[in-house]
Parts: sequence; C-alpha cells; structure tokens
Amino acid sequence: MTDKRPIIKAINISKKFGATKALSDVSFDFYEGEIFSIVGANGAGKSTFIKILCGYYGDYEGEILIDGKLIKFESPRDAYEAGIQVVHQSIEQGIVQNMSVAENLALEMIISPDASFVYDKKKIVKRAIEIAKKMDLEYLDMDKNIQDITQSEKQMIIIARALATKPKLLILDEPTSSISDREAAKLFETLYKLRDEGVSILYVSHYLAEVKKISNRVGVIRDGKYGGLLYQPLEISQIVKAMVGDLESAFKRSYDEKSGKKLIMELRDLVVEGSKYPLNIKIYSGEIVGLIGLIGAGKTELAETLFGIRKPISGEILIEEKSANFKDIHQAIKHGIHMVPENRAVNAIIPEESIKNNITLPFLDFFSKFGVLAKKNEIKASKRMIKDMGIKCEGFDALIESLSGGNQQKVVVARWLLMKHNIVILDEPFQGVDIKSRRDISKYLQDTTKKSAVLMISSDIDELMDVTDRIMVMNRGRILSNEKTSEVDRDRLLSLITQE
Amino acid sequence: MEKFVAFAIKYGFLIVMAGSFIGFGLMEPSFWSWSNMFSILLGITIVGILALGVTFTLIVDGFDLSIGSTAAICVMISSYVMVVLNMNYMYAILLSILLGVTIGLVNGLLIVKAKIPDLLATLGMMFLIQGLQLIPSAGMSIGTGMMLADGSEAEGEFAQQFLFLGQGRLFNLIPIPVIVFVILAIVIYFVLQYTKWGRILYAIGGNEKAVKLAGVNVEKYKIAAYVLSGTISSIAGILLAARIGRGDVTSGGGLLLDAVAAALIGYAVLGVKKPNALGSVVGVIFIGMLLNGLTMLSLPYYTQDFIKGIVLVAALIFTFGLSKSEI
Amino acid sequence: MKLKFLVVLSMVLGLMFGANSALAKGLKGAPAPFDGSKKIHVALIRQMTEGEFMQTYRAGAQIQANLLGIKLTVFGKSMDNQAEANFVYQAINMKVDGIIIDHGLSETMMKPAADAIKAGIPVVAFDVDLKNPKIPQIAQDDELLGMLALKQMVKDFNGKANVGYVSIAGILPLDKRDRSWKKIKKEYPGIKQIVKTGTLESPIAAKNADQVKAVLLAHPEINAFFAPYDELGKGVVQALREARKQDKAKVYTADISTQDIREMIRPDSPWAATAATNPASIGAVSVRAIALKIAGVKIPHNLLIPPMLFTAKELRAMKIKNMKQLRKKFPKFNSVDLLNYPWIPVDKKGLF
Repeated sequence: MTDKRPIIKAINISKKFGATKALSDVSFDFYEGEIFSIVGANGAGKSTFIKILCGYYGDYEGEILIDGKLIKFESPRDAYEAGIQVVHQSIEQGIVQNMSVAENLALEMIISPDASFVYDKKKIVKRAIEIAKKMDLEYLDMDKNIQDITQSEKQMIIIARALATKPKLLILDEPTSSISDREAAKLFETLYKLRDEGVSILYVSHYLAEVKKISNRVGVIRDGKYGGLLYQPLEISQIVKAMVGDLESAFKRSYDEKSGKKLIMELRDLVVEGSKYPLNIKIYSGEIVGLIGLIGAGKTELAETLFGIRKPISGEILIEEKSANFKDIHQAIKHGIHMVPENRAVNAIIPEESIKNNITLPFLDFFSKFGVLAKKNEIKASKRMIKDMGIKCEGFDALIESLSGGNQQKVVVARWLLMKHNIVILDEPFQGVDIKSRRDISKYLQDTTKKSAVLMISSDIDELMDVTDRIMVMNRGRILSNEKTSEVDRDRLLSLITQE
Repeated sequence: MEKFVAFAIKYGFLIVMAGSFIGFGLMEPSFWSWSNMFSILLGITIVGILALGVTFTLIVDGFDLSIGSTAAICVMISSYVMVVLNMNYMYAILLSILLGVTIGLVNGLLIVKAKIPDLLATLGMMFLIQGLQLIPSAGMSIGTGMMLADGSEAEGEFAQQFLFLGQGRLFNLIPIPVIVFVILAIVIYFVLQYTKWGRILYAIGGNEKAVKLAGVNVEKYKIAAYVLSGTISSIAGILLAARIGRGDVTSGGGLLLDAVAAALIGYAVLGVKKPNALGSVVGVIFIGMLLNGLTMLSLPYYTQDFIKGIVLVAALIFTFGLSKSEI
Repeated sequence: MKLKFLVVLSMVLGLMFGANSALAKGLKGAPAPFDGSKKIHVALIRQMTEGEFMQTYRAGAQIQANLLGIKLTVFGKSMDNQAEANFVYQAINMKVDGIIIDHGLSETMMKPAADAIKAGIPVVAFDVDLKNPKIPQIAQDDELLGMLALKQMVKDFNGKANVGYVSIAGILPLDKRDRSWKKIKKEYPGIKQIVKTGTLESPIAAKNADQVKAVLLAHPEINAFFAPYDELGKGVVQALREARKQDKAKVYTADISTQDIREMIRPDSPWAATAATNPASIGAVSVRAIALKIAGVKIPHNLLIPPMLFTAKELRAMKIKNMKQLRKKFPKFNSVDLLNYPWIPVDKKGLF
C-alpha cells in the first residue's frame, strides 16, 4: 500500500454539538485504488465524520488536505467541487421521481445553474448513455420511468452519476441496506472494478461480514476518538473488539430439551398464501427458533399468517395444543402471539411519541381502566423494560426519535416482550442495528425465553447461528431443513437456502 | 442561543398572548372587565367548538372540510323542525345531532372504506351539504311567518328554551354557549390526554401502519374521528341556530377557515407541534382577544382577516420554522 | 421572530392612535353633550359591508358624523350574523354613547339591542325591525318607492297596460313594494297582471333575463314590466334586447346606480323610470337620529326616507351620465329633509 499516495488526508478532525464532543482528533488517510471502511458502534461519531467529509458541518476543527492542499469545507458544494461524491443510504433520496432513467442519469445537465435553458432530449439521452457505460448500465431503457426499475438498478444509477464527475473519493453509506443479497454481490463486483481503476472508495456499513469481505483497510471510530486501523486479513471478532471493546462473548446457551418442554405452537398442514406446500412445524417452550430463507421464500407470508394479517389457505394453527382460529391481529395477540415486524421505521415506530408510549401501544387495554390510562403503571413497566434491555436514553419520556437506531429497535422489541405471551415472532430484527444493540437484544431473548418461545426470521445466517437453538431453512415455500443450531453445518445450510 | 430558541418555541406564544392581554388592558381599561372577557369568549364559541372538532381529524392525519357546512345545515334543520314542522325543540336538537353523526359517519366511510382522500371526500361532502340545506326551504331563510310552498304561512317559532341555549346567561353574566364550549373543551382535552382512545388517535396520526400492526382496529378509530368531528360540528350548529334565532341560509360562511386557522395556531401552543385540544382553544381565544382588543383601539373592521393571517403565519413559524431538523 | 411580531403589532397600534386625534370643539346652540362637553363615540354595526348601496350609506354616515364631531367606529363582517350580535356586546363593553344597527336578522339582533338599551346606550336601527319601542326604526319608504314607479307607469299608459310582474315573495322590501302593486291593480282595473315571474338565483340579472325571455314568447301582449329592484329590472331589459323587442314594452323599477343610468339613457332603452332613495342620506339620517337620541331629544319612532322618481326622459334631457352628475343636478336627492335641527350641520356640497 505504501507505494500509493494518499489523495485525501483528514487530520485531527473534531466537532462539538453544544457542550458534547461528538468527535475529537480523528485522522484517516484515503488512498487511490482502495476500499476503506469506517466502522463504529452507533453514536460513536461515524456519521458525524462522514458528514464533515461531505461538507454538511462547516464548523469542524482540524484539517482536510486534498492532493496536499488544505481545503476548508463550508458547504456540501465545497465537498462536491473538491471531488467528494457521496451515495446516501436512502435510494429514494438519490433519485428524482417522475423522471426517466436518462434524466436521472444526466441530472446535472438539467439542474445545474449552467444548464441549457432548452430541454434537448437527444443530448440528454446521449450523455446519459455515456454515464451509464461506466457501470455497464447501457442495457437499461433510457425512456423508462425511474419507478419501473429495480432498487439496485436505481442505486447503480446513483453511483454512475457520482462517477461521472470523476470523483477523488466515492463515499457509500450503507449501500446494501435496501437491496437483496444477490444485488449486493453485483454491487461488490462493481466496487472491485472501480477500485482497480484507481477510484478511492469509502465504505460504511453495519454488516461487518461485508466490511470484512471487501475492505482493504478498516478504520475504527470508538466513542468519538480514533480507534485504530485494521488490515487484511480481517476477522469479524477483531473488528467488533476494536469497535466496542471486550463484549461479553455471545453466550451459547445449551437448550435443555427435556426440562418441562411444552408444545407452544403447532402448524398442521398450514398452507399460506402464494405457496402450495403444507407446512408442519412444532415450536416448544423455551426455544428460540430461527427461520432463514431468501426474499420470496415465503418467510414473510408465514409470519403474517401467524400474526393474523393474512388468512391461511388451508390447515390449522394450534396454540398450546388447542386449535386457534383468529381472523385479525387483535385476536392473534389475544392468543399470545406477538410479532416484531421488519423495517421498524415503516411498521413499528410512532415518531413524535415517547419511549413509554411506543412500548405500551398494543396493551393500552391492560394499562387503562374505563379507557382512562393508568400512567403510573405504564411508567413502571417502561422503566423496567428500559433497564432490562439496556435502552440508552434520557428517560421513559424521551422521544423515540432521539434514540439511535439500535436503541429504537430495542424499544420495538420491548413493546412485544413487555406482556406475557406464548410466542414472539421477530421479522428481521437486526436490520440497521449496531452490534452492541444486537448483542443486548439477543442476550435478553436468551435470558427470558423460558415459558414462551421465539421465532426469529432473518436472511442472515451468522445472526441466527449466534442466537438460536434451532434453525429451519425455507426455500420457495418449503421447509428444507430443521436442525439444532449446534449441529448445523454452515455451508450445507447456505446451499439449501440458495438451492434452485 | 439554543436554549433561548427552545424556550421561545415552548412559551413564546403564551408570552405574546399574555403581553397583548396586559397591553390592551393598559391602553383600554374596559378591556379587562368581566363582561368584556365573556363577550370575547362568546364571540369565539362557535368557531372554538368547530376547532375542537377538526382537531380530531387533524390528529389522525386527516382533515374535515365539511365542519362549517355541517354546522350550517344544523341551523337550517333546527329552524325547519321548529318553525315549519312546528315540533318540540328537543326534536330540533336530536335531529341536528343525528345529522352530525350521519355526516361524520359518511365522511369516515368514504375515507376509510372507499379510500377517497380525506380532502376530496370532505370537500365533496361540504358541497353536498351546502346544497342540501337549501332544499327543504327552497333556498329561502326560515323564519316565523315565512311563505310556504302551499301558500300558507309558517306558524311555528323558536322555543324560548332553545333560544336560551344561544342567548341566555348564567348569573346574568356567563353566556350559555361559553359554558357548553368550556365543558366540551375540558372533556375533549381529558379524552385526548388521559385515555387510551386519545393515545391511539395520536399514534394513528404518527404511524398508521405501526398501530395496525399493534393489533388496533385503525379503521374504527379513524371513522370515529370523523363521527366526532361531525357530532361536535352539529353542536356548534345548534348553538349557532340558537344565537341567530332564524334559519339563515348564509350562516355557515367563514366558520370552516376560522376553525382550521385556530387549530393550526394551536400547534404552536407549548411547542407541541401537534394538533391538540388545549392549543385549539388557546388559538381561538387568542384570535378573539386580539380582534376584540384591536377593535377597541379602533382598528378598522376590514383589517381583521389580515390580523388573523399574521397570527397564523407567526404561529406556523413558531411551530415549524424555528425547529430546523438536521440534514 | 417574537420580536418582529411585536414590532409589527406596535406599528399597527401606533398607526391607529395617530388617526384619532380630532378634538370636539362643540357646536353652536347645541344641547349637551354636543356643546363640546364630551367627545361622542358611536358604533355603526352592520350586517353587510359590500356593494354600492352599503358603501354609499357608510360614506353618508361618516360625513354626517364628522360634521357633528362624532367618532364613528364601524363594525362589520360580511354576512356573519352571529358576529354582528357579538359586535353589539363589544360596543357595550367599549362604553360607546350610541349604537346604529344597520340591517340584520331581527331574531338575532333583538336581544343584543335590548341589552344595549338596558346598559343605558341608545340604539337606532336601519332596515331591521328590532321590535322595541325605545329603538327608532329608520327605513326607506318601500311602499312609496313602488308607488312612485307605478304611478309613472299609469301615467305613461293612461291607466291601461298589460303588465309582466317580476319580483320574489318573502323578501321584506320587495313585499312592501308588492303592497303598492296590489293597490294600483285595485285602483286602476285597466292595469292587468298578465304573468308573475322572478328569481334570486345568481347572477340575478342573467337568470331573470332567461325567465323573461320565455315569458315574452308566451305572452306577446305584455307592454309593461314592473320589476321593483334594479337587478331584476336589468334582467328584463336584457331579455327585451335579446328578443329585439325593446320597442314593444317599457320597464319600471326601483333603485338606481351608475350602471342603471347608463342603460336608461341609451336612446332605444325600454327602461322608462326608476324610483330611488340616496343611501348616503339614509346614512346621514341614521347618524342624526342617534345624535338626537344621545342629546335626549324626542324623535318619531318610524323614520321613513322618501324616495324620488327618475325617468329616462329626464336623465337624457339633463345629460346625466352617472351618479355624481345625478347628485349634482338633483340636490334634494342628497339631503333628505328629515331630523334637521338648526344646530346640526348638514352637508351641502352634495359630494355623496
């Protein structure tokens, strides 16, 4: 690496918000032709650092040198002109709805202050194709509306547009959070190609497996300070350690099959929407069961059927060996089935409400008499959950938006663990959740799942291997395997998941 | 600086309000008299009650454009029942409330079941009601002695008890409509703040899908919000009829926008940034007080809308402008 | 933000204070309090604020108030009946010396007006019956208004005409004008009502034109129209023009405006005559009435403003093209000889 020269040097970068120091004396160098990842637990200062690099905060301390020249970033425009391009997490923010593919690719031609007053479609399409070629996107129909292409194609368009400005540094912020694994694999191929062409890439992701796989070097920010540099070969445990210090090792509990095991939920020949295969599944008390499969394998349909959102096509659901016939979510909850849905921002969080109000939402009947809320009981219950799950907050009255993503997820999980239940279904519970919070949630589940059961749905095999007692593989509506986690062979499982 | 902004957002509105209260009184001592306080309150009751009604739909992230015309049609129906049909005033009250419930229910069903966007559904309902209210009396105002279609004269009249609702006073000082308004405001404040129903309504406004996934029958609550809006509007209509004492076809004009403005100003009260009962009440009182005070100081009548506009824009800046979110 | 708001507020307040610095000098020979002992404050509370009639009324009231040294505060929110009632209470709280109520629903305004009297504040009413012996009622003499126009019709047709009657029942001034029509029909059997039509649907003139056109087809014998409200009259004239029958019938109406004059003076206009009062003089009479009540002078309970008749022939002969010229050429139109006392100055310039 030493033969390459640093394109951008960030030296002793610090930033204060009021009295709190979000970042102090963090320095990193970025070289051409490498993928550099920045990792850090939530709230460590990772996003503050990136925002400074993008010019969002003009009042930082420290120096940014570009090609050896000192440049002060006052606004995003400065960063843009200095050759720093950023592709944000949210794909929808990066594209302009109601415009065509070509217009999105050649956006600069349309919106820049020097843009021609006349709308010349031919010119725009010509430029768009030039830009598309960079990312091998010429196959796209340029006249198509942007809404009619896939998420990853949209993302490729955003990256292509960023590359068209010949950036010195390309920042990718959580680029895989809303695309599928297959699409992610394609993205990585592209990144390797760009790296080999000499582009300097700064990669930010929660998924440490990705970081491990694609990075040349990893920079760590810990509690707002420089946390060291890691080089290939990388180990996830090593990255985690650098990020959060010594964690209590993910404790593998041994699930005792014999002691007081009770059949909590049984699916008898259950056929769910979009599938023709009957499912027969048994889940016992004290068990944490994982369900893994690709998008489209039928996991979500199953979860939604179990929670009363969809009606089963045929078959039966039994709760504690009694046939449970529920028509809606309300009745599913009555049967002791709780579900933490995927994508908390869309499906779970009530913004502008307090932690307490977010936790108690499904059980207001329990917390009220003749409709009048017993706030004391609510507060007591919320405080208990905040403490038990280690939710980092100013108090039960803090707004949920003031929490980090991981702590928001804890609140959502707490909502469904608060009350007695038979089984709690967690659908992709670790999406956008930092490693520390993951561990907290997993540990809490392992500690408290005794009389009840957990069904954890995920597409991340390592996640499930960490937490569960048993893993089922679902592939196109069928359960292909069902074995104890301790006996699972990772590679075989992977092949079952992706088997055509 | 940040602290100052936070303080301004939370208490700024109330400070301006207290300041103008003191200022008006110093410049015009009769402003502070009890009878003037109640005349301010009397002036804002109808709009205030409507603002409370529209608060419910705003809370569930909806909107009800039909509140003003619902009040107006209740004026017509009350008059028709008492004057033309010569029936007891209790029927006038019952029928009006029933009508308010029905209008709200239809609004709710159109929005929740037929999935018509709230603005469009209630706009349609507004026009429908505005037209409907003219039909029984063939477009004419209803008053004792009016000529009926068969050539006879209408013999019924507004019952004294009914008129008392609008024009009577308790202890010869407190107007009855003000009492109704205060009771409604307290009940609604309590329901929104201290019951699970209020909590769920706010939650629906925050994230409808999440509430649905928490096992709540969201549709039921949303329909209920529109039914409440219609019912409360009909109460405003009954009081309006009792104040006017005649089935006047023009009585609904301007009510809707004044009520909506008050509810929006309410967002700024105590910096809650949400529709809320206390805010709607304070908003409507603030406007009433300002107009009363400024009129006492000889502000010409035609500047009233301008003043209202200033207050609304200022309140919206308090609410949204001062709290910039990060990029 | 708050600061800016306060600045704007204080600017508005400052402007208003500056505007009110006139001091009462007192009038020669006037009874108290018009002898200069107190600055008098009168509230003019209105149901409607828009339209030429309403604006002219206000101008007349204002000029008379200025001449008497009265501060006149106008309250009004267009067609908001409950607001009109609220304004009365606010005026009471402001401790005004007198209140003029201009239009309104009697059901709505009776109680507030009575409350004002109870609070010791004199009240006069224009065109709204407050059913209170202590409140003088000012009104245009609608019966006479109809009668003047009809008398002209009788004269023009020598007591024999086939008349189309365009009016709407249930509107108080129109009902009063209707009484004259009934009297005339009784008195002159040669005046026959062939058909009755009329609508208040807006736009009033156009909708009535449509109706009258239909009537003209069905009853070609009609040679005169009585439409006792100028908007209705305009509809009739429009219908006659569109049917090219402007020489076949004559139109008699009530009220007058610049627009009306323009139509009347066209050489082929069927519009023969209209009877009208000057809203400005009504405004002036209203202020004189409240001033007299404040001074404790007894005045009659019913004050009727007499109308004048204007024929198209006269207007053409005198080359009158608008209201301003009309007022100049007919000085009597400007100041009605009603409630005139030597100590009350009247406007002689006839500018309103």
